[in-house]
Amino acid sequence: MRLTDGKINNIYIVESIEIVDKDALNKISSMGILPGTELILLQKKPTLVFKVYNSRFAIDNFLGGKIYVRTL
Amino acid sequence: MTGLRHFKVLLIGNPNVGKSALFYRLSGKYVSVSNYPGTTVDITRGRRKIGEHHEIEFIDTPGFYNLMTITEEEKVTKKLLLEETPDVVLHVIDAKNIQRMLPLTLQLIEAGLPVILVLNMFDELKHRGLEINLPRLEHELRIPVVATVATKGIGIENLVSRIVCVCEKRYNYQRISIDYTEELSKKIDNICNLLFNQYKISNRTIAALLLQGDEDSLDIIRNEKNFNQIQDILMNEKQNNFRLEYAKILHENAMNIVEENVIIKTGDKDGFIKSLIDNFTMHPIGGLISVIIILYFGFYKFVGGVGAGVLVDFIEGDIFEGIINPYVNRFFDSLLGKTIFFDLFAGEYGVITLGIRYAFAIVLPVVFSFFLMFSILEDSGYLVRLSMVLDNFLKKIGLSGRAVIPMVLGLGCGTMATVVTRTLETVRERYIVTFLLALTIPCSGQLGVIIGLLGGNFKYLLVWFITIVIIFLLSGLILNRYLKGKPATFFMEIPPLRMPILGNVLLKTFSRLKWYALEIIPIFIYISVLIWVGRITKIFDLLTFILSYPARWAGLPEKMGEIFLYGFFRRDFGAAGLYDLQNSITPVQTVVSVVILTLFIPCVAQLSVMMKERGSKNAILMFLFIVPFAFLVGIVLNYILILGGF
Ligand SMILES: Nc1nc2c(ncn2[C@@H]2O[C@H](COP(=O)(O)OP(=O)(O)OP(=O)(O)O)[C@@H](O)[C@H]2O)c(=O)[nH]1
Ligand SMILES: [Mg+2]
Repeated sequence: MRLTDGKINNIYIVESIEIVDKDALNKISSMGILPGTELILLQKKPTLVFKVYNSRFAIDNFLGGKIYVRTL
Repeated sequence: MTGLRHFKVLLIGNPNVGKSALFYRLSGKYVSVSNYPGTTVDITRGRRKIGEHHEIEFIDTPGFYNLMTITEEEKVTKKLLLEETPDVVLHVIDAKNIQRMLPLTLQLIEAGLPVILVLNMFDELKHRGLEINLPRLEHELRIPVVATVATKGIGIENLVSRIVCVCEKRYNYQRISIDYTEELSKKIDNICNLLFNQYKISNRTIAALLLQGDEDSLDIIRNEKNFNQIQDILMNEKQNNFRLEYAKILHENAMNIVEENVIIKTGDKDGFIKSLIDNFTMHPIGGLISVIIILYFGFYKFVGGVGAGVLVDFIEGDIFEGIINPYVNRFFDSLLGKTIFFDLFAGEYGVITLGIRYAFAIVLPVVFSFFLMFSILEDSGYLVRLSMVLDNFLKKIGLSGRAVIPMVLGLGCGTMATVVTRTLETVRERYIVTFLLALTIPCSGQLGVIIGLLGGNFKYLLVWFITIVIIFLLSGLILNRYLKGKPATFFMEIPPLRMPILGNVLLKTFSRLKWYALEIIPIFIYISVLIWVGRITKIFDLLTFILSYPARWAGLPEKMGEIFLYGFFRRDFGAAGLYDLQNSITPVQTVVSVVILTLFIPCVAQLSVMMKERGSKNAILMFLFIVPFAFLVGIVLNYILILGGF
């Protein structure tokens, strides 16, 4: 499922990232997100917020929709 | 007698890890330090003598995430790496995020650069109950590793001695290599074998970047004799997306190192109040409420009430009107008598009685209180939360939440803000923000006068506010619709809320104030002189005469033509002129002129920065649109207000 469909406070593992849009891919991997990365979804509004390692990131639904995750 | 030896030290790393704070500690030169990613938008160099024999040039850079760069500013840093020959590269990281940042260290090591790893924010790491085994990490990476707390100056001495050691080539780097998969390793070797020229970074790194489709690296190898052959290989590899694979390998390598060296002692422990504020400001509704609270108390009450009210009244009324002006008038009267030279210094338009008075009494207090407020917001980390809250809304006008930062800064000084648009990702966003700054966003000099003029009457303040908001939205919507380019996307690291450090807040406020003063005070004086020359040669009469037409169409007195003319030189100057006129015009006339002055062309300084940042052609186009448009809005507003029975 896409990260945008996730539930708040759930822990997810990144399964894959859409690679067609190179720009988006670049930004996503800048945040340290790779297949296999564990993240916690903290908020969905006003933007998506998740925690990865010790940082939190805010991203919009456009980028969030390009990250595919599964539950632990 | 040996001479001074010169060395060059580059500070690089992710955004918001404390590079600029560290730069200040190392070089003694202050650059903006704030709690949001993307503060630094330009490189700054600062020299410092260390001991008798060394002079070190430190270079602060805009933050970047990895060597595959996204924004123009990230490219600036990469260019430095590809083209300069630093004696030391300080890779500054946020210690508590070592997992995320170490892959870049590995890349830099592989690139053959003289890296020192700086684990900054070590206090926050400890606070979270983490510990890093430094000697062991150093041993595994085979590079110097130093822990620092830049804001408190902890670890700086140690860092300096390690820097000197590397500069003198006393540190013996033994390059560790990255474990690639066999397949990738072979591909990298293949390209390496075709590279014959010498570069500032290792061939392996160049090959790895090329395989990921990096344009900058392709540029620097253009002179290779095998260039065509390399291009063919890259063409064939294009569909294999190495970007992710490479990142994954780096990450795995980094994790292997981190797992053995980072010790988790206890869990997260943030104070109750801190996490409460943290959650509230990020909450969809709480976030909006905090915006309103900050607007009301921070800006309306503090900047408007204290800055534009109390401070202005005191400096303008008590000091200038009460003491300085009468004295100056008397002094020049006895010295020069009733000549035109008297008018140059004193009288209604004199350099001192008008120029200096406007600058010090009306503009500076407001600018000061605004920058103070802004610095506190910046350092607390609140601006990132504001970006988040406004992202959805800003998307509608073609911007991302990131645009909040230059736009709020624009409320302080549009000229500074136009430079800061560099923190935006795309040219399109920069163009939109530059335009909105020029047309709609009043700078604090203006804002102070506006609040001073309309503040007593909430109804008129609201009319002004709504008109400007409508113009803002309309122009944003139209630009978004008709400008070419991809829509903006938003991602931003949310830094922890930090208690603003008083020293930094004051330092930053004063450095901005100094910049502002150095820029405006000469202009104010210069304008007073120009007005004087313009008045005795009658050129100004002609220009004011021309400008008095649109002023009259908008129902304003002729004298407004003159004020608009000043407004051309500086927006705040024009607004300040209006301040002097307030008793002789009606409230409707005041609102209409304030609206026109807000929209009216930016000051000379902003226009020149617009030309530099967006190109002369674009800047002039904006200029030519804005002048008639401002009057048009004024005319329409005047009619609406009259019809509405105001
Ligand atoms: N607690 C703590 N805060 C720090 C430390 N170093 C810097 N900061 C804070 O971190 C924030 C970012 O610092 P900057 O120096 O602006 O970071 P930068 O790396 O230059 O950021 P960009 O210019 O955006 O790339 C500021 O709020 C600093 O006060 C540190 O060692 N400990
Ligand atoms: Mg910086």
